[in-house]
Amino acid sequence: MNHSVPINRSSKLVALDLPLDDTRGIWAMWMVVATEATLFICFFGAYFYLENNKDRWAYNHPPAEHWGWGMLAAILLSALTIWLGDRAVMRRSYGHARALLALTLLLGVGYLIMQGFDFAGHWATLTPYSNSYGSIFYVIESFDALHAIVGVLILAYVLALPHYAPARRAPYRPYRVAAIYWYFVATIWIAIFCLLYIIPNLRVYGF
Amino acid sequence: MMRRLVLLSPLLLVGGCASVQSTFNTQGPGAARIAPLMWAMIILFLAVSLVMWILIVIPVRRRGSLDEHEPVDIGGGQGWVALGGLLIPLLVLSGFFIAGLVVLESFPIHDPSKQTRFKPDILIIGHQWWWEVHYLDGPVNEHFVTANEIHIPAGQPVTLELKSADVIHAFWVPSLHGKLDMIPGHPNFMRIEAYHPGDYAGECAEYCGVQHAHMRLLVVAQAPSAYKLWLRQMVRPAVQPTTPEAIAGEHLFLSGPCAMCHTVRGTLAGGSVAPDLTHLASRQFIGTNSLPNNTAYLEAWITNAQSLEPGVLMPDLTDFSGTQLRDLVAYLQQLK
Amino acid sequence: MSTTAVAQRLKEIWETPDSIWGKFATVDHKEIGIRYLITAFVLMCIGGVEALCLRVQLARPDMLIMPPEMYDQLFSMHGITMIFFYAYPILAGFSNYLIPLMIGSRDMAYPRLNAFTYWSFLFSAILMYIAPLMGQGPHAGWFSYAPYTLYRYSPGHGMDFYAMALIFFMISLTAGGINFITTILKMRAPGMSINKMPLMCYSTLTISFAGLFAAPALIACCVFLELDRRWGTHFFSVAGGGNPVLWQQLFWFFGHPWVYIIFLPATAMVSMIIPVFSRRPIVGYSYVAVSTMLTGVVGFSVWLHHMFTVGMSDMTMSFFSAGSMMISLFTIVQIVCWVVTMWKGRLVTTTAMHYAMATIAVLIVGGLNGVVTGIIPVDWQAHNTYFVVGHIHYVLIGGNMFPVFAGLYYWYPKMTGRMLSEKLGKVSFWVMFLGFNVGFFPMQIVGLLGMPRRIYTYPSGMGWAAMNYIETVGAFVLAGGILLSVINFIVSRKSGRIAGRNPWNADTLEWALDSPPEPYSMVHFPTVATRHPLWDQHDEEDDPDNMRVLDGGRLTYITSWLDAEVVSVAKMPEETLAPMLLALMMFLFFLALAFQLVIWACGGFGATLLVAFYWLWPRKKGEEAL
Repeated sequence: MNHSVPINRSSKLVALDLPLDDTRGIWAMWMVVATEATLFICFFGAYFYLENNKDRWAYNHPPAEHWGWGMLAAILLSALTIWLGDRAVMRRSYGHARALLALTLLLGVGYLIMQGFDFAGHWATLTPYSNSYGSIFYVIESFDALHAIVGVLILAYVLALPHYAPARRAPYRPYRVAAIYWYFVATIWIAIFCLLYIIPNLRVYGF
Repeated sequence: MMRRLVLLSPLLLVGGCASVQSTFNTQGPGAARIAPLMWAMIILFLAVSLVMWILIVIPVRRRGSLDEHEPVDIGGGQGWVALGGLLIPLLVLSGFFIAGLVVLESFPIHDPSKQTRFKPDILIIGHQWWWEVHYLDGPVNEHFVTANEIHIPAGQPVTLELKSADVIHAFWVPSLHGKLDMIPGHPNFMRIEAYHPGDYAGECAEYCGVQHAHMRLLVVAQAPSAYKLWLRQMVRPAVQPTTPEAIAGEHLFLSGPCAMCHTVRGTLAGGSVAPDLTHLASRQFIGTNSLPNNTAYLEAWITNAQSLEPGVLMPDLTDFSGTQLRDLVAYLQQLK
Repeated sequence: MSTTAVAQRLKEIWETPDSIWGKFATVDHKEIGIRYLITAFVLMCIGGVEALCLRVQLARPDMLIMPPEMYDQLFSMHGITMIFFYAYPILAGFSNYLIPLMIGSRDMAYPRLNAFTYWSFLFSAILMYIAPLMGQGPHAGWFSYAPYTLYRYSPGHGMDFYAMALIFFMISLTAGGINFITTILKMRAPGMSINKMPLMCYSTLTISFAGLFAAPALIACCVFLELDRRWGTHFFSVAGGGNPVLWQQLFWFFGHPWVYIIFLPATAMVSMIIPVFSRRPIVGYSYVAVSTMLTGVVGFSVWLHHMFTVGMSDMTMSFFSAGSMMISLFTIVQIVCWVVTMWKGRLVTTTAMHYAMATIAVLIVGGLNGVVTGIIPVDWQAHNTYFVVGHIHYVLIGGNMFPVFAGLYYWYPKMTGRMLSEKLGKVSFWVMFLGFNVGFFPMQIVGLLGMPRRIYTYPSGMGWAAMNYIETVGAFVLAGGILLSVINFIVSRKSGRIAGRNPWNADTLEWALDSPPEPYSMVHFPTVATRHPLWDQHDEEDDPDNMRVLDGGRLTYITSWLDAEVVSVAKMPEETLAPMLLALMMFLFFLALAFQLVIWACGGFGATLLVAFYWLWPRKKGEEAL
């Protein structure tokens, strides 16, 4: 930019005395997470509302859990790695951060692959067309998968960024922003796993 | 007391409460329990609105100028807000809320958790766009199905079960009771009663498709003795046609498209997607209580239903010749 | 350095290039705000014409001017247009334009997201209108109860477009809400602590939060609807174990907060205008602020009052009835604050003040008959009748359209630099006010006389004919009044008196700026000492050494969210086509979904991701400025 009027020195100083804002992206991501969480709460609400209609259908044939445990392990581990990576960014050890991010990405992909197997496993006995339970079950699962896919893409984008140093240009603190989204993806799986898998299975064992 | 209020009401001058289908024209305990509360709210709120409008206009007399303004730290007026904005409305609203609960409690069945112990006398199933009516009183062999015109004994409470065969409808006869939805998979119960014999008009009150506007209701309250006679008549299958025209008409009815959708008990016509016509001639209206039941409209309905009620499931049956049409109507008109 | 030189430099930094590219790439909140206002106003006119068609059909009993399917599409599109695509966007337009100016910021917190919000609103409105133009508009009313909306009962593409356009629109709403929240909480002028910000900020903040938590419910039920219609699931079809009431629960969980979303910012405009023309600070600033926020919160616990006729237990209904009583209390508090302000002040009855006072008058009637429908047994009679139609029009024309016109008459000089004709404005006001009351008051009576809503005709002899005729006349008079104002807006744009900075001698920061404001809004960032910066003794622009001009690039202050102390400087983005492209790709995605073109939808989704990537990828441009 070539300006006809030279920069005002004093105001430039004022600007430089103050740090550059790098929090807006984080605020936005928290709000995205809040609204996305509400979407899942609506789905869970629909799940229980429909179930109420049908004499607790989910408890007669609860979904198999085994892939779910693997997904839970992967997603919790990935949340841990990205948390450590975020701390590494704060310590300015960017190499560590990048490595941990790559690990998170791998775990995320692993999570998605396991989800694919989980999906295929359920499909043998239940489809979205079977009944309302199938419909809501697969909608929740699919939206979870969709969020995980978007999360993985965000992680890949952050991995591809040239640097995480406190930049003088956007995006500011992309690592933290991606991490917040990834925590959300993890939280959603914990919620789904508890509500749609564990509780119905516990019922079968008479709890 | 209520009658005097009705007469005094300025609304009457505008609208006229002679309208049969009015919430003010209370003809049964259901509507009568609601009306006083409704009147009280309307009158009080009209008065409040009037007072507020005056309060808005009065300050206009105190003119100011754009050149000056009060200092920014000027206070005052908070007491009025606390009084007029919080305290008084809180009292009034609480009063109405409690009154509403009292009225709510006075309705014997409306709460799904309480209603299983009520056995319905009449089951009404909403269809696009007509009412299927099952009479379930008495032994099974006295049950029967009719359509659109609902007869009840005057002065006796009748329990209705409300269901839907397709989309959501709502059962509403304003002079007898408030409305209640007819939702697929969610049966509802209502207890209606008419004080006196008479015809009470109503209408489907939940938008249900193109002919929602003509999905009208008619509740006929009869003196108990007349109601007994009516029941006895309805249980019987359709009368056999005797005149040559009617016999020809029956043949047309059974061999033509009519029998595919309509039922006439006692004949081979057993269609279930359209109103039962066993005792059609005893009904006051056709076209879901929208058109008078006379020769002209019967003929028009058979040949031109789509012009009378566009979109209705009754097709335009234009293949009948003039004589055939007359025979068919002659048959329908003797289905007393 | 002189102030003019700084101003010159700021202008070069902030000005959008005057080119075709600049038109599509602009991120200027003022430009976007104006576009919002114009687009929403045009949509209101379309919705109004639809309403006039309905009124013609209902003018006499047993009329058949249009076939019932067309009537159904018209009333559905009227409701959808007014409630979704006019009522919120017009308020978003005001907030977009005014809030950065009121709080002394040079732009919204996320200018590119702001541009995206506008484009996605525009494209979602276009998407919604594709269906009726194909002759297959949505025809199940604005709240489209299942199972009537399922494919079996509603073939054609209308409901698909309804579902897709609303999901798209909700994405726009969510993005806008995020932007408003961050802007209001982080970008207020130094010293404008949270208890000093203009009341409009409170309402916009409240509705933005409400939108974040309400929009997902509508998205969820539209997803369910589309899956049920086209992909064989069983959310609403009883045969597959679904429940039609699920739609109502989710829709109204969204729908009632939505009513407040399209209502609160409008009342806040009244809260801004009445004190100015009463020439005193508002009475009960805290009452108004707190009741606004409480309305937003309690708005989430009243949704069942739309469903009192579904057949629910006493306990459930009573809870929601109590919530409805409580929430009306919060509106009453605001109304009383306005009236007491007028009593304690000295009035200047400009056209804007006329509209503001009409808001109070109309809202009282609409609010009180809302209380009538909040009482359960009474609602059994009033529900789904013209009483409710009258109620929503009293509340939404009183609570949205009159305030919007007040706002237009009040801020038009700021936006254009020209005064509107007061004479024509007052004529327009009286015609509108008269037409409105003549057109809508009889609806409440005719509803209690038993006329259900959404009927395309009615028989004679019901006692409804005369009032329906009056309603039709009133509707046309109202339309005539609006037309007069439109003429006023167009004519005054060129020939109106020059407004100057502060024609009303008003108290908030936007009036300290040029009319219309420069692209950089202000040379010196203001400092704020009281709630009424332009009425107090404090000099906001006292900055002799140009310490608060931030002319080293597109910069604005970030302040702490409670006390508004400066904490950092935000660097604002340059113009970019990315927001428009992203909205366009999403438009294609949703269009493909509405036609069930899976391949195209996948392509649209991929393109959306690509554009998002392009948007987010760091650019070198502008880096050297700091």
